[in-house]
Amino acid sequence: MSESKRFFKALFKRKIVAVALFVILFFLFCAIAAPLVATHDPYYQDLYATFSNPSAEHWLGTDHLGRDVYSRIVYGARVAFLVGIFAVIISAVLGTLLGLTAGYFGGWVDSVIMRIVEAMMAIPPIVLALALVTIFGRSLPMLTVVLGISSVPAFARMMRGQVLTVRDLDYVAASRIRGNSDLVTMVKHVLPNCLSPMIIVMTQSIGGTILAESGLSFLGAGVLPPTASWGAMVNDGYTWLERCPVFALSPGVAVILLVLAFNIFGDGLRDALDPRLRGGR
Amino acid sequence: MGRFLLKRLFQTIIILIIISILAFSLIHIIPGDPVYAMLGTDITKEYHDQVYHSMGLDLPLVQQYFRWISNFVQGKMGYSYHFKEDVLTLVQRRLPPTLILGITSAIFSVVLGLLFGIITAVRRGKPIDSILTVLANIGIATPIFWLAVLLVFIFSINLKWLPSWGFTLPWVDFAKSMKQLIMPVICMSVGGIASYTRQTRSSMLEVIGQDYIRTARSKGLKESKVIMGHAVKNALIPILTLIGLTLRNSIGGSAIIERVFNISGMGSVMVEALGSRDYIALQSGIVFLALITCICNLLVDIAYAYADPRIRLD
Amino acid sequence: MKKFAKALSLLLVVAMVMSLAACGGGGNNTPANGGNNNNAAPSGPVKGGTLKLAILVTPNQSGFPISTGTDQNVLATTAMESLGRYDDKGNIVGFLAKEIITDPAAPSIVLKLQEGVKYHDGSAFNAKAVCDVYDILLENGRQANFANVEKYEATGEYEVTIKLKEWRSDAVETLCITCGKMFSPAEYRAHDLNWMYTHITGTGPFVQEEFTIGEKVTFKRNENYWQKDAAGNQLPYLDRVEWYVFDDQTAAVNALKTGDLNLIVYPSMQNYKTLLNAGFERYGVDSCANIAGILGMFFASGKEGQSVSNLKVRQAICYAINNDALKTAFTEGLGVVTNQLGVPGTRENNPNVKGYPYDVAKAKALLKEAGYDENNKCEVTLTFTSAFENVFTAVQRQLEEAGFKVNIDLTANIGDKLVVGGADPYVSICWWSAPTSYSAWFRYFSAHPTTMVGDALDLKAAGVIDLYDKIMTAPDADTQKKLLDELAVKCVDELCLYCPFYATLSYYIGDKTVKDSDFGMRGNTQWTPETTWLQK
Repeated sequence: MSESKRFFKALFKRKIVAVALFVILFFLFCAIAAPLVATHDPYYQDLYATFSNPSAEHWLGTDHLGRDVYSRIVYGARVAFLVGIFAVIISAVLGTLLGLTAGYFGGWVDSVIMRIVEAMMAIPPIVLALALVTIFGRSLPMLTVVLGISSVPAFARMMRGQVLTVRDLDYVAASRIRGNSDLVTMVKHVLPNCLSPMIIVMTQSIGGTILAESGLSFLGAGVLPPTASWGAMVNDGYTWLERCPVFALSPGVAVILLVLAFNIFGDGLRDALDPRLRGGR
Repeated sequence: MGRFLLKRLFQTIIILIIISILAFSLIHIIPGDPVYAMLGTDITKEYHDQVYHSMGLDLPLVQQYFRWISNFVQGKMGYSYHFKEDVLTLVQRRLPPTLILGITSAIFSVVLGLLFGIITAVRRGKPIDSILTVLANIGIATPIFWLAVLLVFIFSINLKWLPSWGFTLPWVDFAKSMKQLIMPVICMSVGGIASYTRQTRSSMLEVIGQDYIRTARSKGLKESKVIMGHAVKNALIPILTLIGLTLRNSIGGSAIIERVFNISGMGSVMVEALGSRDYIALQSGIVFLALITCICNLLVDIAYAYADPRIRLD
Repeated sequence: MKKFAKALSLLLVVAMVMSLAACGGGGNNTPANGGNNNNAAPSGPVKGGTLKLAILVTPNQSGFPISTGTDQNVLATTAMESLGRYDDKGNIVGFLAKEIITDPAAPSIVLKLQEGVKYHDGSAFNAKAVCDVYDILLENGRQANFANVEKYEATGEYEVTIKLKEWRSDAVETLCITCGKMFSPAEYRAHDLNWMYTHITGTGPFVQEEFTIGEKVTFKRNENYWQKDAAGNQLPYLDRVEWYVFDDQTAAVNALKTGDLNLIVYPSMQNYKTLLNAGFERYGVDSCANIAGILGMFFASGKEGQSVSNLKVRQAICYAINNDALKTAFTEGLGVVTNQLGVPGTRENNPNVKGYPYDVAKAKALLKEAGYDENNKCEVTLTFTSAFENVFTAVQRQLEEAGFKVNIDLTANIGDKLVVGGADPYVSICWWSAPTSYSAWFRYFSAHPTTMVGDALDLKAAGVIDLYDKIMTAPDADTQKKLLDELAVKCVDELCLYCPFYATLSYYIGDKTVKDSDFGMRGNTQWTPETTWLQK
């Protein structure tokens, strides 16, 4: 059996992982093909037809500005993926750089980097994100960067831990003895060995980032209107729980589904990539 | 052990210094005149200058920093213009609710999370495993304020079982305090319970597969003894490191819960201070929260070192 | 797969039960004390009880309530009284000054004070105290309020005479309401301003007990209060008044529903219908013509060459706004559309103002005339506070439909921004109260750095400032009305200085047990705590 076949077999051993992947792909499809999937312009508002109940015209009713809730959820998937993926890429790149450097060189470099990382960890993430948003404004790219920065420490620590386990292995030492520079050694030999835990943590962080976005929205620091983001929609909706339950609950359900899917898929990946550990680095 | 302790203490102090520099920079990164931003533009020029001077903003940066930090260490954290009181008194009043909430939900998360984790690991593949695993995953995936609003709607407004808001210190009115604590603690610990369940489950599964457990079993020990005596003990060690993180998350995340349940704690201080540009409360608040987190981490590290002797030699 | 399906169906069942429980309960949300007996029972005031109110901003200056928000003023009124008071028609009548004698010819104001009134700290309220309060206000940078005052002095134990430089129609309001809140000067002298902010020491029917910023402000009955009711009973009726601070409106609404609160001060419109359906009652007047506030946009800043300093652009913005749609979506039927600062139905309203009725084609044409088109879009920067985020979103869309490019800046409120150094063309969505106070309207025309309209064009050269001064010094009501009409035409049709959306009622909502509080009946900031009682 080939390596990739074995991987996929392990990955989909639990059917729920396949379901999770299906949910992710479904939302991804919604995000990419939003204009085809949506039934309305997500920004079109009819102020005379607010809070309408679900109907053939508006599948999930309309919101407080008379916008189509279903179409907004579809377009909101775009923001969710954009913010989720880019924020995680930012934190993964920064975290990897810091963790790799700290772990590989050790000594005072390690001390300095890890103290900074720990300092970042000691500041509550929401406070850090709120402060950054206050300083730099509430735009979507800024929000992505802010959410990315606040999860850098997790990646840095994980990466450093990984590097420490492979650093002293024979082939890394061999590479150094062969006269390869530190940079080459790191990129060629240390980094590839750290990739699979990296992918696992990244998958799991996407969910966390989508949640954090909704939390920031609640505290008044989410994306600016009228952007159709799930966080902003959950925040808009919850005040209308009694008046318009579908509008109040559906964005939250979308968040739960996608985050759940990412988490379960992340677990599945971990099991498949690292059968030896079956969970837990 | 002594050397290890000393080293960790030294590291913690360095971390705190870095945090204080970060917090101090805030006031200078935010564009505009901090005094006008803080007090509004309705104030007179004289008052502006007076406050500007009293905050030491006319001094060189380095001097400002040392002035602030030396005052901070002496407990003179300055006067908060938004909260109209000394920051130290403010923190003394607002910290207990946040700490009680944070610690209670951390304990809640650990106890329930471990319990669920052990159950799911031991009953792996059984219905209970699936149910708890799915519940744990949903717990992590739910926006916390959304859950809180739903709970209030069901348990306060419709069933009228629990109060929808407020906080009472347990030593003032224990029964009332407990009733008010239930929903906030549930909301704050849902994420924690879920991640402990997952971690414990995988940690347990890993341990159960190892040789010494098989040996213990083959020696004819009772299954419950094997699980409780050997597996749990060894699976717990990696879990310990999570506790510091949980406390940090619950203290930081309390901003959201405090808002939903209208609790006056440190989280709402930070949010309000940011909103009203109260730099003095903001700086000190950040350092204070970080200080607590650092102390927790230090304690966890010490406990960890006790539990796992290898660490001490590292 | 089966396992997952099982778990999923279990979850669905749980969710359904939860939502059933939620919906099923919807009907029996009527507060315990509610019912139809609020008007039926003719019984008189009942003594005792605790009034619990929610305030949605953090009070932090209530003990020195000058130029604070209306919410903090409402709170301060619990314990602090003013020289004059609004009656239910919006006129100022004497209160702590039992008589306010005005003489426009002199020009002067004589205040005849209530005798035998004591502050909560035991010090006497007399002519000297009033002068002291004025002194303290001047010491704390309120010179603008006294710009028209020649001098004030005690001309008797209980008489204060104020000499004015010229007669202005807002003089009584400024001196007896805005600056007429009588805090104890002795307390101020014994402490300082920062102390005063959180220690409300007045002559009012309730004495402050606890003031915890961000949490609550509680008051207990003032046993030595100076007023008795018509039947000779000692006022106030209530034992206690407790104010609770809520950061999140939904939390306050929930507390009202569970019966933990009697009343919410100034909730946003969005909760109105839900609460009304749940059996709660709105307090206050019924017509916008009485006491209303206006929501709209001010065109701010705009140095030479900025988009909104162009009249055509401002007019295009006004044409692009569909006032009626905004009113329909955001006022829950309580608002009326207006095209000027004078609310329809009031003296200040000039029905001859043409305004800018919703017309996207006209807006586009104006933009074209101003030199903008699809490739060179007209940019405006909007700023607003989070309370108006919904309205903003609607306005943003309407502007975009007319061909504007809308930027948003929330990093600072408009006042800060101008000082902080922005020279962008700003349009600010804000709320201003009308029509009791002209000075409140024209705050925006003053020479202060935070001026909203001031920079947009030279108001002095345009004759606006001059006209405003004439209104304030008008010798009689007819002349004043004529000038007001002229100002309305000038500001709206000629210069297009602002873009009002709609007027709507100030709004308090409670559980029907609160009686005779006059919430929402007497200007935007006053109520009558001494005669308030709770129906059991």
